[in-house]
Amino acid sequence: MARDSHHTNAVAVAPAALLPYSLLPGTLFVALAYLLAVEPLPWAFAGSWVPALQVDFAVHIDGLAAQFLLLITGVGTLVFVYGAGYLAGEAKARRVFVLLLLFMAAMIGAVISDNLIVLFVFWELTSVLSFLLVGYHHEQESARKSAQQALLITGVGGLSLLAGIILLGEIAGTYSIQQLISRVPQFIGDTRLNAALTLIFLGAFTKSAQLPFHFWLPNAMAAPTPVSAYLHSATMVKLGIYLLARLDAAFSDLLFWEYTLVGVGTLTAVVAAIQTLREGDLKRILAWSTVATLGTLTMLVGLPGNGAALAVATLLFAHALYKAPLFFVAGNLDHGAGTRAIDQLTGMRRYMPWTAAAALVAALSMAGLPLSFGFIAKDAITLAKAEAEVLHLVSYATLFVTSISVAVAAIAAIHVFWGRDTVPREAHPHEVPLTMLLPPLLLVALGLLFGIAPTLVDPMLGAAAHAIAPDFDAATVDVSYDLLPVLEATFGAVVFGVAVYLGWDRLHALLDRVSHLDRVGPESWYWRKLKFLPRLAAWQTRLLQHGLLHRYLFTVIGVVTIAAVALIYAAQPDYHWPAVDTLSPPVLGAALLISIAALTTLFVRDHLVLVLVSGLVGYGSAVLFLFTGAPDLAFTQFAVETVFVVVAAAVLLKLRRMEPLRRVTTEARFRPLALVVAVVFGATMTALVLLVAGLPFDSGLAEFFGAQSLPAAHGRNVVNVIIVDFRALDTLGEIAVLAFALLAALPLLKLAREARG
Amino acid sequence: MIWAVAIALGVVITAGTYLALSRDVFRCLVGLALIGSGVNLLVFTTGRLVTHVPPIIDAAERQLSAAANPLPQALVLTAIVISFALLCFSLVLVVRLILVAATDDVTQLRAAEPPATDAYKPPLEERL
Amino acid sequence: MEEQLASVSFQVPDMTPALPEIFVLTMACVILVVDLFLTDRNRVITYLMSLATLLGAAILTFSLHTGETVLSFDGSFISDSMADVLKFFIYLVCAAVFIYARQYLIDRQLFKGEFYVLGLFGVLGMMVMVSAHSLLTIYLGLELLALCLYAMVALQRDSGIASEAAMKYFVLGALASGLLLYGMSILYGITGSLDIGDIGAYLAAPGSSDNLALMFAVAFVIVGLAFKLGAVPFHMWIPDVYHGASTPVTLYIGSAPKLAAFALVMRLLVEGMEGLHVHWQDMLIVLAVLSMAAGNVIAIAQGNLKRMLAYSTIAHVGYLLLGILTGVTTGYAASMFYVIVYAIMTLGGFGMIILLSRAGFEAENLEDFKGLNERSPWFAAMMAILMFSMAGVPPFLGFWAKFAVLEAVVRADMVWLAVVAVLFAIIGAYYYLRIIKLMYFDKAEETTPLTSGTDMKLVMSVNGLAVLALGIYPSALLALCAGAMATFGG
Repeated sequence: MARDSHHTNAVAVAPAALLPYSLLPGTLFVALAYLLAVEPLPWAFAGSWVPALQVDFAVHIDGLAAQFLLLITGVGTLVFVYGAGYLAGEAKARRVFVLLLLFMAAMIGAVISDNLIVLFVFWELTSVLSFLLVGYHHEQESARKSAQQALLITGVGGLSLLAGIILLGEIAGTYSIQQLISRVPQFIGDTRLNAALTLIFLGAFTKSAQLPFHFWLPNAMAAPTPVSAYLHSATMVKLGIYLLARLDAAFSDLLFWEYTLVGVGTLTAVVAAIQTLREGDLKRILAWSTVATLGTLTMLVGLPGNGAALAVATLLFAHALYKAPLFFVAGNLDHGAGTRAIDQLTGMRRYMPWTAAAALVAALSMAGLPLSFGFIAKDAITLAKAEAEVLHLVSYATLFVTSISVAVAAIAAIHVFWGRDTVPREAHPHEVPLTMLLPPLLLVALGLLFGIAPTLVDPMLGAAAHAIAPDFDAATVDVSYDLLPVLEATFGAVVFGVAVYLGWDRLHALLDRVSHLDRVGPESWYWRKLKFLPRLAAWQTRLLQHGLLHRYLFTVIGVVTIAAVALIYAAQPDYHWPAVDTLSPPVLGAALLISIAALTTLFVRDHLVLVLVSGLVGYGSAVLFLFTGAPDLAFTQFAVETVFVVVAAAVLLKLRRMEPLRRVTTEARFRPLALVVAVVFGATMTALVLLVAGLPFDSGLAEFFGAQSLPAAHGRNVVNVIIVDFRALDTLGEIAVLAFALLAALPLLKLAREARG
Repeated sequence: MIWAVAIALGVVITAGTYLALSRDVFRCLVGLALIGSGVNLLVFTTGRLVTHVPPIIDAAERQLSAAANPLPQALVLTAIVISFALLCFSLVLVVRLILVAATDDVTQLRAAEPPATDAYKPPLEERL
Repeated sequence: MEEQLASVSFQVPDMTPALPEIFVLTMACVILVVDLFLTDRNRVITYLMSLATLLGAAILTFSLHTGETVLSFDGSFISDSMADVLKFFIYLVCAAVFIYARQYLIDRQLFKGEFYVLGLFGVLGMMVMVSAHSLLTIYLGLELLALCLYAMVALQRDSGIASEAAMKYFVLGALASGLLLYGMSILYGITGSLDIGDIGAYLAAPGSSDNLALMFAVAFVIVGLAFKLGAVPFHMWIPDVYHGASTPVTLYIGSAPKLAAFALVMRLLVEGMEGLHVHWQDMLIVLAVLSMAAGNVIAIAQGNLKRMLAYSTIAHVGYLLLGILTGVTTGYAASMFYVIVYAIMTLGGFGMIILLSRAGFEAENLEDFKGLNERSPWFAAMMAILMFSMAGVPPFLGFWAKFAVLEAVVRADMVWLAVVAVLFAIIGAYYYLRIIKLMYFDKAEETTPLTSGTDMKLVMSVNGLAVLALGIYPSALLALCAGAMATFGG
């Protein structure tokens, strides 16, 4: 265990100080169990949250939600107890506990909510909290990377889930799951449904570590063991399954639904089973076997029929009863023997007898041997497959996956604990404290109890199955225990499993030899993608954000020009060019003056001359205004232009006394392009003016001003009247802008003078 | 008449755009000023050029008749004044730039950029 | 004839709706004069008077608020719900900017009246933009604000970076204003009116929108608006200016003006040119997709937080446009909600840079946030809230903003656009979460304690908690936006 050392103010926390945290989930669990016993399901109540977006805090608790609640609070209580021992002495233990409590609240929120958006909100919250929990050992680079990977992948899925939910809500006209299920016949033919479901699948598959997003879960094992046991086995990773099971009532008849889930689930289970064989770390082995179980669950949700619904509920329950103890066992080994590597662990029974006992009973259940609850689950699965008439391929896949489970169970219980301890070590392993023994022992004891007397949990499982498949009749549960085919299946799995167990080392070596296949796997794709994005970003930065002002301008004008040309091309207008009418000589002269002056500016090098020539363009405009009925404009333009030329010349003369400024680069290729853009842009503007001039003109407003000027404002110069009367506000603003330019310039000039002096 | 003005306007805008694309800050500003003059002409012509009679109501009449459109004139007047204000302000900016940054070459204006060692910093040399 | 004239005759304009503007103008001038007589020691008077001005303007706006639309100054000034709500948030955001800036300016001997006076004139410009109802008034408000911003950017002692940024901002801004003016003049040339209402009525008539010149008008107006908002490919000024300006100025530019720019979009595109919706919708889609893509992707490459937030702004603008381009009331309301949320989040993001900076040290690199959790768990949590919110993680405020616009887009049957938006949001999440990783998981390189004043710390905390609290209860703000947008769209 990596302990904190850099915290100077760290205070070691005693287990006793952490135990009270388990009171909260414990109380919740007891209260829930009591309520379930006395109040018939479903429980529903409504509350409002964001009515504007159709998001209300409607709660709907049926059998499925109740089962999840029991798991969340029940396993939660034990995780808190276990954590009190495991994290005792850690400086940041309290933070982990607080985060775990928040996480539990988020999980509860997710499973009780009837509104898909609210469900999504809690769903994302669990991702964020798990990010902080996985990154707990953040001194290790691997923990940081894993935390980021888990968050990115579940985050990606989460956002596509959001898109899917919005789309589904749009199709169904509601975000309420219950209403959605009841409205299915109205929208089942909607063409957008497959898109919505695909997006939702992405969300569920990332959360529940289905192919091709499966790799984040084993990497997330960098988290402390209580966190792994809780988040990555018992609760959070099952949220995806939960959502799929929830929606199964609505979409189970769709072939798209069935094929996707059965296909992805089966593939995930097989791939995860193979990956299991490649690991040497007990915790990662357990993680891969969890992925395999999640795949099986996905497959079961996809299978049609009531038996499948029951199998989902049963396997969910069984998995929590055996996998959580096995994670605890892995944590105990870490704690007591200082390692989780299976080649370092043999004969641990001698040092850790209680842990060994827990491991053995949990392994029985995982292997699905009779008298364990795992056997009941296997029974349910076999029946479900028989009812759904699945392909042989799926059956073989399941057999393979169960065999690997048997082998993993054997590794965890027999290889690690039995045999002789042949590994030389510095310190003797020791048994762990009571807080770390009770939780696994309690869970495996429950597993045994329910394995022997499954009728105890039948009502709960039946209610859950009823929630998944509404026409499931809870009364038919107990007649389904038909032993023969199940025993056959178990026998086959055990034989294969034992064979795998005995050949484990050889298989391990064999798979190491094909490890180069990883390079085309999804995980390497993830890393490549992660490296690719910054490169793409850098390339875009160079392309768009080069810092060169004149090329920014080039981009802007270029885009505008392209858009303008595209508009003309797309519209294919029939032009109404205005007629070439008689020219009044002064206007022609002014136009010539303007054009010649403008062209001259291009060839002038000296700044002072440039200002003077550009002033000529202004004078030309003034002349033009003068002879087209706008004397006011003309005089303003004259005045402004003169003042500007004088001011600019003064500034230039002042600057000229300084050192000449050097040019560093040449732009031989940019110049012609700039010229092309300038010409096209200018030509477009000319065309535009001609185009507008050819259109009919609504002169109503101009006539209004012409008519109102004298009677209302007592002015004969209509322009003046407009400026000082009708548009007084604008004129005031104009004066303000002018005064303000001075105001803004003053502090700058002051600063410039200070800088020099 | 409109043709002459339209072509002149196009030439002004072409010249202005080309100047604006210069890497000399001062030429760039003159270019913007020319584009501004072009805009003023454009605004003015969109109110239609029909007559040379100024929109002043004759002493004998109570209403404007057959004169130039007064509204675009008011608009152009505002535009002239504002662009004048902005141009004067821009001169101050140029002065400050030359005094503080000691350059008027936009290819040198890259201080507000990642440091030169940054892998993402675009290279200076010609790439177009 | 006489009767007819009497009925439309000229009247002295009703000044009442514009009282907040007049108040801010007067106070800004008063502060300008008062500041001349103050020494550096009692400069705090300028600061307090500026805050009082914003408070007074808020009270005036609030007490004049009737919920009804009032036109004044011959139709060139409008006071409606949208204007009042946006103005209120402009005061709020600017007040926070003023408070955040105080310590920063004092530490760098920049605590003069100029920042506050320019800031107040900028507020005036934004108010005019928000309430403008004629092309001319819009143009005036725009230039008034722009001029303030240019000056504020340049306003930094001995800084080549700042003058450079100001120059770039000015040149690009002037070009954009020119293009906007082009668009407006064509619009005028076709409709014969400068009044937004008249233009809207003209273009709403069937058959009037089928016109190439009008499409040009739309295109140019959109270019101008896109520049002000910072949408790709008219965004280049944003990173360079955000980076080059001093952080309080960046804070100012990045927050409130976006509210005003939103109002501008609503007035010009929606009130004025709703009849041309089919034309501007396509253009906005292009801008939105490009902005979301470029903003989110380029942000990944940034090691400077100010630049990163600049690109994040660009990306947010893309999302903001999504609501507007749907062309329906609920979409507009979603966008308005988004822009307000954006302003609040940006305020916090840049505020945090100021909080971590001190004289001679700008905490603007991502590395400066390493191990913040060890230095100050409280402010690390505030920053985490802000980053989660910007990334759109529920239940923070930013999530509801993204959700609202996405829902609007899906409802408008543009599913592909929603999927694209989600895709880029995912890329965006990467760089926001990287900061959280730095704060919580990396080791601090800086160990000096935070030295900011109490007012700054208090407002920063309120800022962060508001993002959380409004995220848990977003209904009120959503209802406010829906109410303000009720008069827009069919």
